[in-house]
Amino acid sequence: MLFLKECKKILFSLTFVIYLVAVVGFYITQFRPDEREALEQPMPGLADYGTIAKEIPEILMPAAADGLLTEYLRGYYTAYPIGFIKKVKLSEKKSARIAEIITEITGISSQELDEFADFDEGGMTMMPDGNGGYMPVIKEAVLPEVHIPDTMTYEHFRELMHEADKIIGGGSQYADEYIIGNFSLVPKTYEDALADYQAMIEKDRVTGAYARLFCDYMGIVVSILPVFAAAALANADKKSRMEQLIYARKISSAKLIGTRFSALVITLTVPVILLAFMASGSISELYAQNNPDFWAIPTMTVYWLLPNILFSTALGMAMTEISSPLMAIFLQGVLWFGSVMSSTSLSGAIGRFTLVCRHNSLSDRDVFIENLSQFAFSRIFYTILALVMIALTTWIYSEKRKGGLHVISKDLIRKSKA
Amino acid sequence: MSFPKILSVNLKHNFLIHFLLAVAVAILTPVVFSIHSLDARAAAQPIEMLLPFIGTILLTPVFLPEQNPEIRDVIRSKKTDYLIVCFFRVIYSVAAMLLITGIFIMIMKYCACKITYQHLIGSFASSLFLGTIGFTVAGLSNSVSAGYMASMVYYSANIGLKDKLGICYLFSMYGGGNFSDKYLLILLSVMIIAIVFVILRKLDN
Repeated sequence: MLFLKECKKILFSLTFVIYLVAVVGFYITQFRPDEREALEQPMPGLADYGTIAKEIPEILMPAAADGLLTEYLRGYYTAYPIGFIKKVKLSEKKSARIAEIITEITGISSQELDEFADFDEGGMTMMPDGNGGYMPVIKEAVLPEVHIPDTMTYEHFRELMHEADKIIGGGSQYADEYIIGNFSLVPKTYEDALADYQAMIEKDRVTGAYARLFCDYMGIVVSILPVFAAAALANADKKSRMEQLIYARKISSAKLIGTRFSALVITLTVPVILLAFMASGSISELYAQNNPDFWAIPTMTVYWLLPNILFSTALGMAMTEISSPLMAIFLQGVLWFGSVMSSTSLSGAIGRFTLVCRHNSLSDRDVFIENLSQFAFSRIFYTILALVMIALTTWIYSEKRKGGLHVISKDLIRKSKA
Repeated sequence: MSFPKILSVNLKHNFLIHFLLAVAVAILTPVVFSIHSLDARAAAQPIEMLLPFIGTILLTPVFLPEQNPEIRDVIRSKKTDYLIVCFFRVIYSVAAMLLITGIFIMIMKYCACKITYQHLIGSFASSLFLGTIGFTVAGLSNSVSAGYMASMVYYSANIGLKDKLGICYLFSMYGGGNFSDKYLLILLSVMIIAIVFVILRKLDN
């Protein structure tokens, strides 16, 4: 049976062995430490419960004003316009409008701003340690004194910050979606910490929180590695010069590509599902008295990680058929790196087109729930895209069998065959 | 065939596409990371976290042309030593790596980053080691896909394990402000490459 033959080919390939080592290695080094000890209910009277973002105008307004002032004086603005970090320099006209906004929110005139010579943005800086390395040193910021006028309402302040964000080009620290997290972080109270803990025990039934953490870690590897297995398998026929023999067989292209795709997806998904069951077993044992949901981690693994495996596998097969394994790996590498590096936050920063979804925390359930529709959209989007790519691969394969399609020149394929 | 001829044929047919992809990575780096007015530590981010992929792209495919068994048999029947040809491929790949890193560092300097020769050595060391991982696996397994994959797995391990990897931590300048291990990383890479050649020579005999 073709399906079993393809599975056997994959299971005995070196790329599958490396895949197995990587997923098990990631599980052991990243997730296992969180399995060792159960989180305890927070006790009252502790000095530190961490921080939480809360919309408190008295905290947000002066902090955001300081932020805008600092960026204006240093001459550039940090932003994530398309997900990647950018340092934005503004034209004179736009910079003048930012100065007007600063004047409105702080009372500092444009002339005072331009004449302020002692500016130092402060923060962490690295100084040589005398041994050829660097050591971190904290420097205090030096800024003009900020006084928010009494007449400034919070609503108008937010409107001005929204305008500043638009001038910068979007995705800045003052954007509606980031401003609270950036400028209104407050220490968690005992009640906040208790509410977080109770949400994990009651709403997530413990394993729901661990499922997000499990998928966060495993997502890093399963979003990229299937492309190698897919590219290697698709290229195996070319390497062993079996292409022409297979082309002449009776089997339909749809059946051949579909079988190969299913074999890859199943063999690459099973190890992750097995690890999910192992994780579920350990966590259920650890929190036995809290009635944990045994199926939460495996179920979340299917929803969260299967679309990544589908997409990476489909891209690997499609690009190898269109061009070469090298191109497949390069393209998937660019997409993966862009997604991993563009995460503005490791907890809940999930957009509609996020490839590698991150939630590196056992808490912040509410942040994840807030983004649930975007999370669902992204998973469905990548699943559909994977199926479209497989349909495309089938068509290209079928055309090649007929001898009528040369998408990329043979010469280029020969040079970049991996 | 003389060595200059072999070299020119290799550069034209086996190296060019990989070199262009490595240049593409260098061009993409400023798209992902800012390279303007960075302090010493921030300047280490683009050159340690993205630029080292040029090592994977340039060093992993050293054995690619002979991956096809028919070509390998033809090459081995020739008078010119196959492994010496591979050695020359390593040399020009490493030279290209150093060239791309050097030009990138100069561009960062021009963009008012606080960048020193340590950044050049550090970035080169990370590129070389990441490439060495791919080179080793591809050479010993005769599968370039496995080489690329091993290199990517090692990169991912750096995201998770960080300085637990000791001197082999690729992001040591950005992650921990530590430059001192970079020379050791270069030395280790050279030793691994030499060991791979010794093993392949033994297997060849």
